[in-house]
Amino acid sequence: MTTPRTPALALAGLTLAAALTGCAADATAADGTTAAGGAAGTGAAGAQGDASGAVGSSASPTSRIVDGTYVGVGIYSSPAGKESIEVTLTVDEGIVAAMDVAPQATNPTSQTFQSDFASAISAQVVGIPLEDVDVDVVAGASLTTQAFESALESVLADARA
Amino acid sequence: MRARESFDAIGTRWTLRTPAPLDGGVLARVHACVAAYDAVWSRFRPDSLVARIAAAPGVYALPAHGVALLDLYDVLDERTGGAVSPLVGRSLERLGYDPGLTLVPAGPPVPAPRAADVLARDGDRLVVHEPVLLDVGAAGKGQLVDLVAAELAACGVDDVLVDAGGDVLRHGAPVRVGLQQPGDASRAVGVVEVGDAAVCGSGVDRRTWGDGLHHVVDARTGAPTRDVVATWAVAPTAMVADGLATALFFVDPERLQVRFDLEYVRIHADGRVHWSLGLPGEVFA
Repeated sequence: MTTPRTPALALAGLTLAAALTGCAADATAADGTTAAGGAAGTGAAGAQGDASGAVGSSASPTSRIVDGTYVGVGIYSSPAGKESIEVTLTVDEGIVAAMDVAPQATNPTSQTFQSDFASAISAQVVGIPLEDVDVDVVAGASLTTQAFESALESVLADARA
Repeated sequence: MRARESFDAIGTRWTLRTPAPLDGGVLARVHACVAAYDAVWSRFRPDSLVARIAAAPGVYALPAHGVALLDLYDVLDERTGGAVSPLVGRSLERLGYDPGLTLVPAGPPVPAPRAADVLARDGDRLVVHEPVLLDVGAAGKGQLVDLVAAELAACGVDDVLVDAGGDVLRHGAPVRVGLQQPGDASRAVGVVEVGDAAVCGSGVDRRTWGDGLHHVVDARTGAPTRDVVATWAVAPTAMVADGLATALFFVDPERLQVRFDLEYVRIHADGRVHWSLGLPGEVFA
């Protein structure tokens, strides 16, 4: 897995109160051990925050999130009752190096929702030269035929004329 | 998968990859399957079913696979609020993507008619009240990929990779599929592993013929999409993956995930990339 250059922000389809508060203030994070386990539940009672807000709010531009692994548990209400979702963040050199979202749902419908809607976004996609990526085949936009290419050429020629 | 067979069909380049070369009889069946599909759905020939439906009202018999295709379109239409529809043929022609490939717009975009206004389905019968030009590019290529794979399986070839110009179906052990960077065929923006599944990509960088003129049109306006530039969908069949890759241009993935088993990647014009965490692979970002 390549280390992302920009943090990948994970969003859950359901409102997620990820209590990732064990950041700069948590001294035990410095040795890389799991921290903030106790933060589970704080601020988690049906709060409407999202994971990105929780991470961003505790690290101002002039401070860094202390490196380490953080676990946050979000509690939310589903029609089937209270469910929880666990997010594990690994912070390396002040940026989010890895993120794991583990559904803890016990209700089958909630499990479906938690796994189906978990997604990630990143501000900038990176293109890696194909020779550096080991692939068997490439999927991209539909290759056009010679007929299309010729037609396009003549349109461009007309435009230039 | 050392043996390869390549050919042009339905407007794109196909490659079949198998452990051993396909024999002439099997290839003939594949080409017959493709030809039959083209004879039904091509918008670029005057003798297809699509051409006949565009010329006169009537009751038209659909092939068996046409029912499955239009059933999928019904769901995509509902999920995308009408943005994805098979009635976009005239809209595409207006943009210049016509049988003569003039590739020059003939006027401002024209919205597609609404299905309920012009036709109805009764089993495998299409009841056409008013002539309408269909274009099934959103999911038809994927369906043909499935049909070709089924033809090969019926001939005993069950270890195959069907690559139809970027739509990939793999029957057999997983293969690594690179996701081509929009606008740069030498780079990949991610990799997905597919085994007994399909990954279909839809992008506006190739089938494009002018500023903002490409083939992914919003049926509600007749105009090409703007914000999303490339999508990939991973699904059990190529028809569904193809249809979902198109739908991802118009709606957020969650709207599709309530109805389909879907993993996806979506790239916006500004370079933002969005992908499902269950994607069997990785995105480079």
